[in-house]
Amino acid sequence: MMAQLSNIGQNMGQGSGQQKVVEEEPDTTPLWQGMNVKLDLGNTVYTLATTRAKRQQYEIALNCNLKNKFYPTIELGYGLSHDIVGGGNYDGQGGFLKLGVDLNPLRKGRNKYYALLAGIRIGLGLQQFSLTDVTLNDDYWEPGGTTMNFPATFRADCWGEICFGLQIQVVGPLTMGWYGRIHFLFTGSTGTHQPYYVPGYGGVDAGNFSFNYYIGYRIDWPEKKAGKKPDNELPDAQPTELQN
Amino acid sequence: MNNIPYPTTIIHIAFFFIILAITSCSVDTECRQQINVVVGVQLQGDSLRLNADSSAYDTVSFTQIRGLSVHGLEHDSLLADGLTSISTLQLPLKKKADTTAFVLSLAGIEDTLLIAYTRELSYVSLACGCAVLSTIDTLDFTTHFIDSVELINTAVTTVKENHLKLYFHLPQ
Repeated sequence: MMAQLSNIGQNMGQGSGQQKVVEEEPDTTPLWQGMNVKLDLGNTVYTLATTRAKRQQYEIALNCNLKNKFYPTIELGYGLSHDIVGGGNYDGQGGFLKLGVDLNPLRKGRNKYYALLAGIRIGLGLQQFSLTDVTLNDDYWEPGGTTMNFPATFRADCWGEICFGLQIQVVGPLTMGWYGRIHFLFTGSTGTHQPYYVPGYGGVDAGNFSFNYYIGYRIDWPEKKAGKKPDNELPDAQPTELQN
Repeated sequence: MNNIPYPTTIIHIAFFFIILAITSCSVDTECRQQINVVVGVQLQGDSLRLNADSSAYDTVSFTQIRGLSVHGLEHDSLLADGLTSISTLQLPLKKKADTTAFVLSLAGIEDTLLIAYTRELSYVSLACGCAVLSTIDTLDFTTHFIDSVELINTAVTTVKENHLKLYFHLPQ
């Protein structure tokens, strides 16, 4: 079949001198290309620095590399918030889970060390939060207002994310990468009082964009049989192109 | 070179995301929502005026009144000072009681308006705090210059609207 296509291409090229038939090489990349365990440093450092540790978020992620093209991803983390705002105090903490898949749109040079990633996530955040000293303004009858407390409440929130990112090799099995995320909270104003912060999502009243910077470790498990490397795989050493 | 996916592009995209992240993560701590909950009262009055031609009294209706002062019962602070012409009143309900009374004074004559309601606490946001929404149940009033009070909207929320229509007749 390929020989026929090639012949047709040659004939057409001779006839017109303009048209070409591009042969697509079959994708011989094995399905399993290893895993990447990633620790989020960017968002952790950013939240610690900008909120003076009143908000903290820690996250690890694991993605599987399938044919250097699809990256099913699971992200787990923990977040807490002790925010003091004009209308009251917020204390909440809990864990989160995000599931999704990334697609590597690169065609040329696609390999298991480097990826341009675009994907989606569905996130679930579970937390216990309380609201204290929430103001109840009554300027006429009780000037200065009064405050009230809401008891600790268990809350589950769900959101979706569209993410864009990069994954590159640093040295050996060490990788790093970025993710920019646009997220949309699906569980908005349910319940008598709403959370100010959702673990994994961030501040409900803040912008709907977030950023992650990951340091990762690539795991080639299970080990491949010796001498059977895919054609487009880089050696484990630093690629020579990187040094140039 | 094909094995490295465009390093300069990577740097540019990363820089773009960093800038976006820094500029978009500010937390809004200022209350920008309306949380005042007041009963809106529309005033409608009439008075008798001597018609010079017929030597009889005609009824003249008006929707603005001057000289009406209002304050809460056992509360000195004025809600309307009587110095300007007004067509509506904004009456704040007590947030920790189920009834609120107001004293209306016109030309030295006083009437009392009592509003009974049920309350519902509504959390607005952490920046704004809470609001107390009310549903007006019953009205009671004295009738020195107040003729009648019509309940046109029972739900008192953060939306500014009229809930009562107060008819009165001016003393001659």
